Amino acid sequence: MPVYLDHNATTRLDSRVLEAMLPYLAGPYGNASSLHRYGRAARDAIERAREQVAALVNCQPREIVWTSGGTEANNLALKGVAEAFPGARLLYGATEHPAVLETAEALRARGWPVGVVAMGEDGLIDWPDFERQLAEAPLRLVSLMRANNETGVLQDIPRAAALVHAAGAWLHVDAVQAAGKIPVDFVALQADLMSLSSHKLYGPKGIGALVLRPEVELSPLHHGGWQERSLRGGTENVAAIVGFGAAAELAAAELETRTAHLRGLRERLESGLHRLPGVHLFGEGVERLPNTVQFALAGYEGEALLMQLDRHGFAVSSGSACASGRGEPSHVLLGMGIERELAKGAVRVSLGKDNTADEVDRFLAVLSGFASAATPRVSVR
Amino acid sequence: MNPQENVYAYREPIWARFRAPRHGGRLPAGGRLLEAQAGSPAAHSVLRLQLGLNGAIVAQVRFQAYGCPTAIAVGEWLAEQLEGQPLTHLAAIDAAAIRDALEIAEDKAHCALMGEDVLRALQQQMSEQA
Amino acid sequence: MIYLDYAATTPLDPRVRDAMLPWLDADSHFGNPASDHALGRKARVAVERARAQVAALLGAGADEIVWTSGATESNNLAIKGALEFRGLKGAHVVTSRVEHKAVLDTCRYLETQGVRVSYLTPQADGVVAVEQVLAALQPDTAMVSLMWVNNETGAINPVEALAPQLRERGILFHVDAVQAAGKLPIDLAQVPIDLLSLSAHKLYGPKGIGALFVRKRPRARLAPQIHGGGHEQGMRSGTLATHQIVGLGEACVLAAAGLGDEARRLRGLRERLWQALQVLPKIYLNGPVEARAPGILNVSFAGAEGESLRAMLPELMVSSGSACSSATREPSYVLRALGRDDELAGSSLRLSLGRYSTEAQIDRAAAQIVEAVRFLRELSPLWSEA
Repeated sequence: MPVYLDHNATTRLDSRVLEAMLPYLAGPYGNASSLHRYGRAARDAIERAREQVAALVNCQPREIVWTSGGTEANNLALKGVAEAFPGARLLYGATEHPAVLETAEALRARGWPVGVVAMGEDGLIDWPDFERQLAEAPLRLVSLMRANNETGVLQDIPRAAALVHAAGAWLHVDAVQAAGKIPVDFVALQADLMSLSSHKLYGPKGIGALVLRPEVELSPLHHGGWQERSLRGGTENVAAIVGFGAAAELAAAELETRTAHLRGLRERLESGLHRLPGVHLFGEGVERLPNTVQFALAGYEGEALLMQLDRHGFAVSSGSACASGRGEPSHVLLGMGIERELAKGAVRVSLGKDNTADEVDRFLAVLSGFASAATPRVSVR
Repeated sequence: MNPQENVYAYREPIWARFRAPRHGGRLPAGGRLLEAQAGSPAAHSVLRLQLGLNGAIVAQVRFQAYGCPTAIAVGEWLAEQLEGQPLTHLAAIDAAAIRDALEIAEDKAHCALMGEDVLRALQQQMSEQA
Repeated sequence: MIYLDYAATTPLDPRVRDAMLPWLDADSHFGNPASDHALGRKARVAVERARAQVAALLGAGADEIVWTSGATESNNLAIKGALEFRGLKGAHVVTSRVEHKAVLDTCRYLETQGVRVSYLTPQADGVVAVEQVLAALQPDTAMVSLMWVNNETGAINPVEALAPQLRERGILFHVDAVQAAGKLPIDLAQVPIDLLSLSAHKLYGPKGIGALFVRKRPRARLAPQIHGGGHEQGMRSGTLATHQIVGLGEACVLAAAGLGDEARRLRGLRERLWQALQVLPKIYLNGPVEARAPGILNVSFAGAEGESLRAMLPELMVSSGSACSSATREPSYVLRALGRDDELAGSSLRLSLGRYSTEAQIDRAAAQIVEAVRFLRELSPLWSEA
């Protein structure tokens, strides 16, 4: 079993979550649409999960719409609002996940006016640029992420929300990476829509949610069926929903412990990295997720370093798993104004609740071997 | 499984009357009868009520119903309420009373209205016969 | 409990569950299939193996299978994706009035976007004839979307005969095969269907996963409906749920293995049920006698309202109308489209049989239905034997 350091890509299902799911992978069929006793039991389980997820992010259970994952939630938020307001202007951050970025660009291609919020080299919103764009023309929706999947950089969402609301628009927050790692409070963030994903917080793959305030008008992404207030038709994935609920409940109960553990491991990792020659850390000095470290090692392209580490039994990422394998430098780093050459070297380590200090030390030891082998060839400023 | 089990979770006052109606059927011909019907097959609900009169007293009641469990329960409940009462009692029952007694939810309110319609039709006949 | 609602959803086959569990539990099985490390590759291999398994059931190529979250998404992606790629304005679509809601609602949405849609009314037996479709074609018809098997009546549409006719005319053909896949033989190497939807939970696989067949030669082109990351050849983004996909693959393997025998067995059980119900006068078969999926029997019982009938059958899990509309308890729009009057449409039960149905269950179910219908008819002011 390799040492898994890629928790921003996906996490291992918690065995307690699997326990909660198993009855719904074996039980009496449970079509939640059926009015029969068994169908109602499935419906009750779905509503209980809704309460569990709502409790994790401090929203109302009725504000949750189940989706097949974070990508669909982001698509539903952007396309749903865009379809409900044909021609309305949208803004998104330059370092957003492809699920936001590519959706917004698809809308632009279909005629919606779309603007991009610039980011500073630290990965944070360029506030003067943001305010200028907000004032430019009437606006319907702004999409910003709470925590970046590659750098882990956290945005000041309440500050953005106040500006967005003053401009008369709604704010969509991609909280896929934040939920389960730091406190996520839908009310305190003052978001109007928010995306969540189960498999990033030790729940099953194939399930996510869009949280939305009652006044947000949205067209469905998938037509057909009255499920999820007709916003998302289709037979409910009961086992996965139950799993997401269980995972959310555990995340809420263990959040402080997990955060403290992750922060400790990250500090250990970062101080180790600082001792290595030729290491450049991205997003350093700003508030970041407690589990994420993105760095470049002089002399190595990210893909090559990833492969070396893989061979030595360490699973890391060269950026977003979604965009991997394309040989292109990370759009997140380019969006922060990082030079192409440096960006191409990026490797992301994302720690998880079950990682240990020993694993971090072993990782540093292997990396140290690479670092001393590579330093003479290329230097990194 | 109990063949009488209420697996679709109908309210108890509805379920008991639906599963064991005591006043279903028709009265034998002869004697003084009042009879009325409300609802329509197209709306999936029809209720027919027959009153057997003894002077101004409702001596016997029978109902027939086509429709959902709530519609059937309304027929049975009206029969229970009217049997042994003076005819004037018809005026005392309306849709709200039916809904209260049977705990009928909003989406089945039309069943209670159908019950009221039958009572009013019976009153109409009374006044025509008088 | 006697489960007779296999057309709404099927229980997860224990063999499918066993295939899925390692991908939920084992140490080295949880990677993101899009990740470039050993765990990611391991998941990717499983995903691609399942893709080949699904393709094999359909006579398709593995690279023609796109994963979705279920049939609703498959139908949306096929219809909206193809028409958006082509350009919505001025396109004409032919479909039928008895399609699944996912197709009908998608078509209604497209009408708001400038697409013209013809909704065909099936013949009285529920089948849409080839000639009906051909007669509805217009010079600018871009697509025909028709279900292989109707979920309520079991009526089998002549999609195999229709497909070459549409190919000849250059019209895209989408088939909702949710009720056909794993139940009837499907060979897309022979039948020139362009797009075909299926769902795992109708063939003893897990809920929350489906697939869309997208033909490569000639290539059916789609605009993606879910963006972000370019998964699934750019047609459908989002992290792949390995355990669900493995489950769908295994379900297809099991379905393919027992296809002919199981169809014969179900047809036998279904006829046994229909015969046992014959002691009741005035019952009516909804759907065709011959061209019908083996497991589906839809019957109208004059004088016995559907909701009451179902309530009197606590041991049976049956559907009165499609499960998707049972929350609103509207009388079946499908039966109305077949010309059943409101009363008979509202007096129907859909009895759908499947892998775990037995003779003993069928006999017991029939006896209970007969008793319940008699009870309700006795109470009904509308009932007369004449």
